Amino acid sequence: MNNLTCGNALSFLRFDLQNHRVKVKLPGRQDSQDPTDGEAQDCYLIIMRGKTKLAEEFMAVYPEETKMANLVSKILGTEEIVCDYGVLLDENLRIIFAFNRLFADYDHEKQEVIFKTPDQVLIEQLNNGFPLQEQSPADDPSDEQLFPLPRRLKRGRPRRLPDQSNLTTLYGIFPDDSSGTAMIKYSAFPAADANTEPSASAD
Amino acid sequence: MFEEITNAVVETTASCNLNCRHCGSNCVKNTKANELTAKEWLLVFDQLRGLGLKQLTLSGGETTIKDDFPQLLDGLQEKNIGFALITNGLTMTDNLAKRLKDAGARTLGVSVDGNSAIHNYIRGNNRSWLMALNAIATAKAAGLRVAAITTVSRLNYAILPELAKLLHKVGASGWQVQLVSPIGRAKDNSELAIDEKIFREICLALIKLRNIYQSCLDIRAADCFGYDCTLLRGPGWPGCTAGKQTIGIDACGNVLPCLSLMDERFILGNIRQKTLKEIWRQDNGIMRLFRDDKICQAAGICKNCQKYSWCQGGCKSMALAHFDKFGQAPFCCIRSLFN
Repeated sequence: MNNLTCGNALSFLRFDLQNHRVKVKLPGRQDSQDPTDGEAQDCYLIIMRGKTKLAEEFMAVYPEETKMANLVSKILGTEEIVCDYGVLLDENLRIIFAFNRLFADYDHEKQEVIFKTPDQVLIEQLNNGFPLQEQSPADDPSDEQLFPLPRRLKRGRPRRLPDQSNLTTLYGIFPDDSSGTAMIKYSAFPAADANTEPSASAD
Repeated sequence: MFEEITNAVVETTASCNLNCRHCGSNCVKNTKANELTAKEWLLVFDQLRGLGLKQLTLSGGETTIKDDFPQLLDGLQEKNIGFALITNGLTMTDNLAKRLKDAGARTLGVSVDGNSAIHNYIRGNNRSWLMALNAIATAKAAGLRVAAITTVSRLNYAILPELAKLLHKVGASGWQVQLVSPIGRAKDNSELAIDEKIFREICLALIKLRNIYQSCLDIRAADCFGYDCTLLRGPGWPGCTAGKQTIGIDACGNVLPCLSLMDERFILGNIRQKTLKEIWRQDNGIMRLFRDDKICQAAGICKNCQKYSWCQGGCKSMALAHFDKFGQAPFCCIRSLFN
């Protein structure tokens, strides 16, 4: 039996993820000079679950909606709840993009992550009954539904990146044994940037 | 002997940032020329207080967009005059809610006319529903009592249960339900009109909802539902008080027995030409029409009703809108539920 190396582990995981391959056009950074930004690239799309304070997350994703904060808190709740995240991994299985599926979803036809308007999010939740409640353990998906990455996740609060770009990271969502590869949310940062821990808190 | 004016509803401005299909006042974006200024309104409020005012309601148009609204609030606070404010919620912010609270607002009435599709259609603005709900949540967070106001029409009568649940959840503690009346723009929108069958369904729905939400949402049917019905609004209905204890003043200072009776025939005088006391205490045909119960004889569908001597055909504005005369109630909860 061969020794497990980084290279063949990646190959093994890629094989395991072959049904998760998608092409995605990620939005480029506003200040990007890279002409490939916005072009469809090969990714792996997996679903992971994480706890979040949804109202806070909404305000981070839709910062122009500060005036609606009171209603948002009523509708989305201020307690932590479990949400499904769509997570995009690059060829090296590094997390390059993630989105809360209450706010966005992957459109196979358009090959894009399509964000709902803030009104769509709020009206959807109003129609579904609100605020959303913490899910019981019985609601947890079975292991088969989850991508077999480590499920032991550190969870923290969304933070704004220091460059005033309005892009946010869900600070602290990363495997226990990693050394700080933060999950980048709603951003198209190159994977290398994901190693940059944000220094400014939006709290 | 003249009674005190205990209840005044004033149209601080006819200007509005919406263009609602059911607007009884035909309010539009641009302010009418010659509207009363904040300074003038404050002098009116002084007069009203001298005549016994207990409840002042600032209506519109949309009062919060009045140019000198901040001065109006300053004056109300300085004079320590409590008030209720009716708004569509579009301008509500944390700061405004706090300012209203500090100025002495007792209740904020926010218009909510259905779910997002219905409300936005009626209001002609695709964010107005969320903004209205946000106004409720914001005012509640600022410590104000918030009552939602719903104008029920053919478009929204079927979703009253859904609406009650929503209003309670976003923080309303009261809910006034009133019937669409064929005046102003509602007259031209026949799709809104209700009939007797729909009215009965509205009554039954409200009775059920009042029972369900009795401990957390004070649901009340407005005067336009006709003769006293404790099932719909609780005990103690005083009958139509227009011109008796109630007065309305439009944006240009015209004094009316009720702000819902926006009809030149019923202008009692103008506040710029006479004092309110002079207007209120005059003894002319219009005043007698509202104060002398023997003048308006029962007519039409109310002709043989035993309750008429006290009811007087219910809301005079509704009677006028439907029949162009007083003496009969187009909709009556007693007639609808028990006959």
